[in-house]
Amino acid sequence: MSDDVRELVDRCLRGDQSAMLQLVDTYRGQVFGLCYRMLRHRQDAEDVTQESFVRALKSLHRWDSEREFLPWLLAIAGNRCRTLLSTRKRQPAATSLVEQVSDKTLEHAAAKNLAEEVELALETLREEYRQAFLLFHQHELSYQEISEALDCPLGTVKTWVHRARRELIARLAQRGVVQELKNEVRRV
Amino acid sequence: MKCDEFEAHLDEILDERRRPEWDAQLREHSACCPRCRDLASAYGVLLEGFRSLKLPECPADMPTRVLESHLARPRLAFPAKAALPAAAAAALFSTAAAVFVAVFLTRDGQREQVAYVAPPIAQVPVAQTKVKQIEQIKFDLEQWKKVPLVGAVFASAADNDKSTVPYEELAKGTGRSLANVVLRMPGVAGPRGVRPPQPSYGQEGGGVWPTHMSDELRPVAESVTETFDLILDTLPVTFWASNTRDS
Repeated sequence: MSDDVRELVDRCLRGDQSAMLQLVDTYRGQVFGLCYRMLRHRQDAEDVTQESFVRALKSLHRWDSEREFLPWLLAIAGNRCRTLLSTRKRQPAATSLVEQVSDKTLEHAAAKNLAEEVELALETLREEYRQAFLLFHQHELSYQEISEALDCPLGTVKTWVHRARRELIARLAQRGVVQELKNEVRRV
Repeated sequence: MKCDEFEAHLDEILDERRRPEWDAQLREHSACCPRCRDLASAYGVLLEGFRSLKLPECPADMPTRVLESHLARPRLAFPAKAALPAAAAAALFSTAAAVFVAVFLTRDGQREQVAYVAPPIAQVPVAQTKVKQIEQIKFDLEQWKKVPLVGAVFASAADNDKSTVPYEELAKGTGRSLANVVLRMPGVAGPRGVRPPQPSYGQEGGGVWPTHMSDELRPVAESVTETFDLILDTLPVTFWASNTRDS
């Protein structure tokens, strides 16, 4: 990790507001990207991104400067996302309608390109698989970093990422994006 | 390489963020296995599609919003912190009250239990024993008073201050020990101190006890006296009794 981040964090800990602005500006894209992919809702993603940064600034003194800053920050964001998702699950009456409308909207509208199909497939993944997949392929964290961020064994993270890939391929095959793999889908 | 090994190796390649088409083993197996080639292709399609995903732009004012929220949090947290001790105090008070009531009720229950069970066991026998002792003492006194000889001899001895009847004869006449007779005589130092001269021992209205002694204590004193008399009967006080009488 670069010394710039450590210095930035030190300045934040001393109460330097410009450093806080700089820190948020540096990582806002990555945090928001994870939140958006996890929550599939722009407004929720913005709210959780903001909350995650506020929490990070508040508990900045707990960050181990010997480790990378981004995994620690994304772990906070991921936890906030999962908290919100669990809240949604506890409110089935409100969320089911939203999800139904969302699914119908996405499924009725023909996917214009491969990216939309992949995005649609991502929504079908379990939260753990999706988070691990995103942290690995989107944020390019190592398995070790993901393991520390999610506080779970490294082997479990690997399994989640592998299963996420296979389920995504299976989903794409079901959607006819990869017609050739219909036989492989049954194996997944 | 077998087909099962192919997929595992493909995962390894992807885990190392390498491109599958650049791996010689995968390329060699794919050349002769259409199924594995399609599988590798599907992985490639997936990752290509994922890379092409476009994220909505994070609001540019996010740093400002975060900073405002971060700075506002202590002010917002103040009432929250103030409310927390209040809530904690309320909860603590409620808990303490509940514990106090529970303990109080429990103690009341124990008290009721003690008051209900223990006293009959602890007090009634004592009271009954005491009553029995008093009754026994009264009975002894009555029996003692019914001995006319003793009363007559003592009365004559007491009434006649100049009596020269030796204590030994009185003891023989009453059937008591010498010491017992000596100590029962008026004006003789005994266990109860110096006795005032009494008109008689066994007569009505008379008695050996000081007048200041309450009626409640007299049965007890009588019992003590009887016990002391029994002890005196066993003591060899002949010489002492003779000298006392002579003096």
